[in-house]
Amino acid sequence: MKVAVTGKGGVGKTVISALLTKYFSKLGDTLAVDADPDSNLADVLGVKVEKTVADVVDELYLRKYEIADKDRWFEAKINEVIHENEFDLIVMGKKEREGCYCYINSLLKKMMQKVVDFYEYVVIDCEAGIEILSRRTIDFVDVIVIVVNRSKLSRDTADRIKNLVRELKIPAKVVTVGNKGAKGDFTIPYCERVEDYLEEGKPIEIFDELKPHVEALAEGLRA
Amino acid sequence: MREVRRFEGKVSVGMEELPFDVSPANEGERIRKNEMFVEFGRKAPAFELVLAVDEDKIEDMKVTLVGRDIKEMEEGKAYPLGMIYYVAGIEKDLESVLERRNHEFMNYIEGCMHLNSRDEIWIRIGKKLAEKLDSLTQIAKAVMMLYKNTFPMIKKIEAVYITDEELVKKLIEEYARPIYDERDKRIEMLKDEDVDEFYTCTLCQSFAPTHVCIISPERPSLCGAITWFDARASAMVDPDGPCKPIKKGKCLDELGGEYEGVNEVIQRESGGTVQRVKLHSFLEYPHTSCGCFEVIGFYIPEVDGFGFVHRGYDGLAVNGLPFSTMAGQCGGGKQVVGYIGVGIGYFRSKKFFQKEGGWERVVWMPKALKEKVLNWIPEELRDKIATEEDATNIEELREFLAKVEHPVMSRDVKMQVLKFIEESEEITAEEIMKRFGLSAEELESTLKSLEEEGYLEKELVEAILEEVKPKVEVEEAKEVVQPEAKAVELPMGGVTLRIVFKNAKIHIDRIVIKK
Repeated sequence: MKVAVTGKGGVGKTVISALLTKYFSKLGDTLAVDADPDSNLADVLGVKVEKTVADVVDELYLRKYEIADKDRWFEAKINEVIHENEFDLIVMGKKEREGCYCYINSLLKKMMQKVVDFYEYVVIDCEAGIEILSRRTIDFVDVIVIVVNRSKLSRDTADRIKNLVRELKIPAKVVTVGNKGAKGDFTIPYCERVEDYLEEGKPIEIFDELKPHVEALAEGLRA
Repeated sequence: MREVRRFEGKVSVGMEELPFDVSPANEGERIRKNEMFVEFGRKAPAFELVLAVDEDKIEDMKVTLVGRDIKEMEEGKAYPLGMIYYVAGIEKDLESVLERRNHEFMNYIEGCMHLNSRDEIWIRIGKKLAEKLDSLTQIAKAVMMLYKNTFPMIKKIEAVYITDEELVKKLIEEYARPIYDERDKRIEMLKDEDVDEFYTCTLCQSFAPTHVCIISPERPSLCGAITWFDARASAMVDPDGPCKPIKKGKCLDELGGEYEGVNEVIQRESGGTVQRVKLHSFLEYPHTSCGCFEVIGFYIPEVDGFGFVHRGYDGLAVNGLPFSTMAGQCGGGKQVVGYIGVGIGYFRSKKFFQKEGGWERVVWMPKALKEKVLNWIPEELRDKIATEEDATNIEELREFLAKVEHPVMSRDVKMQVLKFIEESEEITAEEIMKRFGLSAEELESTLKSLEEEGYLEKELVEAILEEVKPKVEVEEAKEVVQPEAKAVELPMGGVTLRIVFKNAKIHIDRIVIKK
């Protein structure tokens, strides 16, 4: 099952992604994808990542005249930047250089498809907003989770995402998750320990008080 | 054919029942760290090599393993691995095609993951597979069988697997790398004439709707990312992808690189906007430009040469324009004479704008770009191409080019002659020679070459040259008419014939005038 976690900036996508990743990793091969350049899923999961996909893309861009077999080289390097643990993690990173990436991006899309195909569970922590949908980079997901909090703005973003999924005819189930006790198809309650851990920069766990809620969400997504 | 190297080791010959599943369905299977028994490569040296050899030099389905076997390896560790397949029944140029398939074949094995190629391979053997394996030779057997099934022309195949670190390192340096290099050189030598198919790439059509990249062995894509080999690989793996093969068809202009098949595709793919394209011409039906090009070329009429500036160059080019302004001129798939987008790889091409004389016409590029392409500039021209340190405007450029005697300077005179002729209503050879300080021979060669390049009509050239070598009916030599005899008037029964000699040295043997 492939899950994209979306929503307005600051609603708690990264925490929800981390909780789902930890839960699924007990069930089968799980890959977490950090696709939000402004967040740090790796830190929240307690993983130190040295190299990102963007670094590989950059290397290919700079060495395009040396690397003869680009498809194969790129596939290998993408596989090499996957951080391996009880769950695997791949960080997309930020594109820094100006130039043409049409070809590399098309390669990347193909390779990412291949990578995610292998895993039983994939959780993608998406960039805030709706662009990730309109660029059609996550057409392969089975479920789109929209995280909302108590603000109306976050519910407006959720509506926009829902409309876009309909317009683009993306064949995925859409589920809203109310974070910190907000209303939604599922709710994750406010958790003091999560807030403390985030404040100290420590990786979070599925704490006992969250367990039934995370389980309800994850099993709800699988259903 | 290649030399067969012999090694001492554990030997296994013949077909055998394999204890694991082999099927394309296993492709794409990742062996995760906690499911891995051992890995080869990445953290240890490893390589793969397919070599074409004579049939009598090898034994079919034989494997030699040099070094420790799977049972003697520790869980979780990385080991060196060399894989050499000796194949009889194939030509040398098929070696790399077969070598690429080692990747797929190893991935067909359940519990085996193979990534990358050549001496950068990375292989993982899963725990479940390791339990079933008696020896690594069984992996080799599976791959050899797959080779034989896929390529029926293979008469015999023999493999050597090596896990001894020192030997693997030595073989990479001494044996494998020189062969990889030799193959790469052969690829670099590949010419447009050597292949029947080019490839199109339409990745950029979303923002350059009439743009089609034509990718030939001697012309990579404008973005620089796709060579003919990349395009071929893409078309084979992904027929619905951005790159499609095209039959190049009849060659219409050898120097310019115009092909019937290419024109047809361009017309279709550009929605009829572009009718013709010459792959190696700057000024005649130039290739369209998307928006992705790494470098833009611009024509400098004042010196009749070409300048180039790369994306990311902050300053103004020698023509006073920045990259972005010029890119706006021709980007978006337009065919604009005077500006052209190219990939840096195209500077390496032996056909680099050969229609117009190629490197002989290149007069300016930023220092950073020049350094990147320096090795591809013909040696005698390396010091003659100006950078921003030599010239920042046309006047300085002209001075620089004159100082270094750049080939365009002789072109420059030619173009000025052309301009002079075009601007004058009546022109005489004397006027041209006087103005540009040319001898009669120089005038003749200048005008003839302007005629050949299609700038001047044959009739006009002949008319002008008529003056310097008038054709007179010649018989035996007897007298010399002095140049001072400027005009001779002859009574011709009511018609006055006036012959004017201007600055002429003419030997006339005899003038015969008949009534």
